[in-house]
Amino acid sequence: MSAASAVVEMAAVSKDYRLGKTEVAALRNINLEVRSGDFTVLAGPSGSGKTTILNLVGLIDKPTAGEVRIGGEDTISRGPNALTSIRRDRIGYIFQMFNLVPVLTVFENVEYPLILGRVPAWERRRRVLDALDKVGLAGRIRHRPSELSGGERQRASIARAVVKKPSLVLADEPTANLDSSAGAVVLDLMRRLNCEEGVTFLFSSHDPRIIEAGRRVVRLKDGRIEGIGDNGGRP
Amino acid sequence: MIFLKLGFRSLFRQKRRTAVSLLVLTFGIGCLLLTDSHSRYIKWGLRESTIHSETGHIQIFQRDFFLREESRVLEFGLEGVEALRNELLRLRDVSLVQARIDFMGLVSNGEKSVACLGQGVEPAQEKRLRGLFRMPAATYDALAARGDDVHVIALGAGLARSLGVKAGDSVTFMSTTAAGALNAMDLTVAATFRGFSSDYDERAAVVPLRTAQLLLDTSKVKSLIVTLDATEKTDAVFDRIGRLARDKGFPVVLKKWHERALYYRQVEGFYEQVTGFLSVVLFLIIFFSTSNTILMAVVERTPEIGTLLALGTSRRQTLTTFLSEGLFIGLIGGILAAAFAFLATRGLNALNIVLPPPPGLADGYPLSFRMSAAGTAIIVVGAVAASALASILPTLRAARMRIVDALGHI
Repeated sequence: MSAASAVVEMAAVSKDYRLGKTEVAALRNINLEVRSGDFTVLAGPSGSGKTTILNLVGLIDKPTAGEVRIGGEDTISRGPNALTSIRRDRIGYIFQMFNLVPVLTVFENVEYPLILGRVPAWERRRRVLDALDKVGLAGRIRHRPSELSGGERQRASIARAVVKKPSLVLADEPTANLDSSAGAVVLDLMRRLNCEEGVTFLFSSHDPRIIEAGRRVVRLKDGRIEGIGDNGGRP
Repeated sequence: MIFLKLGFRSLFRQKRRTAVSLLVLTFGIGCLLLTDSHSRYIKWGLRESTIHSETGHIQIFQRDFFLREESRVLEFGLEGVEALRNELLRLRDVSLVQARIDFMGLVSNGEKSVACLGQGVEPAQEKRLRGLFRMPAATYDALAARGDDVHVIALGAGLARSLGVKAGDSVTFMSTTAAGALNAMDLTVAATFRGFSSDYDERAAVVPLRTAQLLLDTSKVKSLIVTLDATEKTDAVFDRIGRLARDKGFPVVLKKWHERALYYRQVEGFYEQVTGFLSVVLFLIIFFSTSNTILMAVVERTPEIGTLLALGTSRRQTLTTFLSEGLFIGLIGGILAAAFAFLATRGLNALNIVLPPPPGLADGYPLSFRMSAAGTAIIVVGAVAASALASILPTLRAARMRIVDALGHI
């Protein structure tokens, strides 16, 4: 695979945290590539570095050493405004706790990234309704997040992540706060968006059923990649 | 727009806290508006009563009056005032022109003599002057009722009490003439009156202008008092009279009313200090109340701030959201306060409450209010600005958060 088709490249990335006087190595020498159309899961127990990788790829944290490239562009030397632009235009986020804005309706939550991207109002409306239709929330556009079930909130969160057609969607334990049936619906939706729309997903989980669903599985332990494997061509 | 929407809707997340903040703002700004309105009423009332009882809008003196001390009474008085008066009365916006003489003398009941401050006035004109502001003019009624009789006097209540005389009794008024000789006239007490202070009542005596001129043996007057149909026209008419005097060669000097109203200036200064001090205190309360509300909002919504920043919201847009929240608090509080102050001033004005007289003054004064649109706007805009200013520090804290820390905030 050529570097041009890589959405994410991490080269020799390390990340250290300071906890009081103790230095904690969260990631050590990570080399990882996520290609366009991938459905990659970061698997590993708590503290293995899954969330740290997502934070670094999502440009909401900086590595202690190494390079993170998004769409072939180096991000380490970029200033805050440039990183904001990359996050706004190229990366979608799905959070474990959904993180919808409670005072905005479902429609407004999904519309928000398009407003940041200065998409015209008529185009925003079309794309928001389309995204909500795809996640099965077309009938809930005027509801506030507090009026939705956990599964519905996560589906709204997915719609918010994909509505701007990002080159990469990051999801940190997207089903961890859902019961098994809602989790299955969310996972199925992510797979469908990957297969039908070509959305590239990089997500984390420690749930074996979710891990099994990933096409590529990156196994982490103690901040290192233990191995990267294919899941037999699934989904 | 979305950031303003976020700021506005966020006010309703913690309804109780927002309500307390708004209550503090409404009450604080409302009290400031009431203080300002009362201060405006006092200043307006004192201004108009000073003008309509004492200074007129413009005073005209002989050119040298303020340059040198008089060595004799009315040495620098105005002569031949009728020509000037006629010219003045032809000017637009001039309602009244009257002559006055101030002089000192002794008033005696035959057994006791008391030093007094005499004033020679044109009773009918003085009555009209007070009538323009609906002030009591009974003193001048009694003098005016005597027509051309020059042997009349009105005494301050304290002075009459000191001499043991009442209306109808006779007194002798002694003074020095303009040439320096002693002169005296027997006068009948037409009325007694109460002035603005007991000190004044104990020394004041009013006689017709002609009586004063006979006592002082002069045809001069001290000054001409020009009254206009509105105080706001003072500057314009002042300029017009100045031009007239130059063009016609009248040797006079002009003074505006506030240059001759020391007491008014002192009261105005006092109320400005009181309102200024209260403004500082109340704006500090508004500042800290809003600052606390926004700080709490930032702390509570830290993960949400992290989410918005992760989605690509810029620091400036985050600032806009929280600043608008502070602005909305100030704006809503300001509008509620203006409504509260409007209703309170209407209600209190209708009650006609009279406050006890201040030390040294004879009469109480009404607890009345005079709201001004400009004053209200300035205070409300000030409150909104204070709220916005109070939001800046907590908002900067929100905008500077590290996204990863904000998202992990519990």
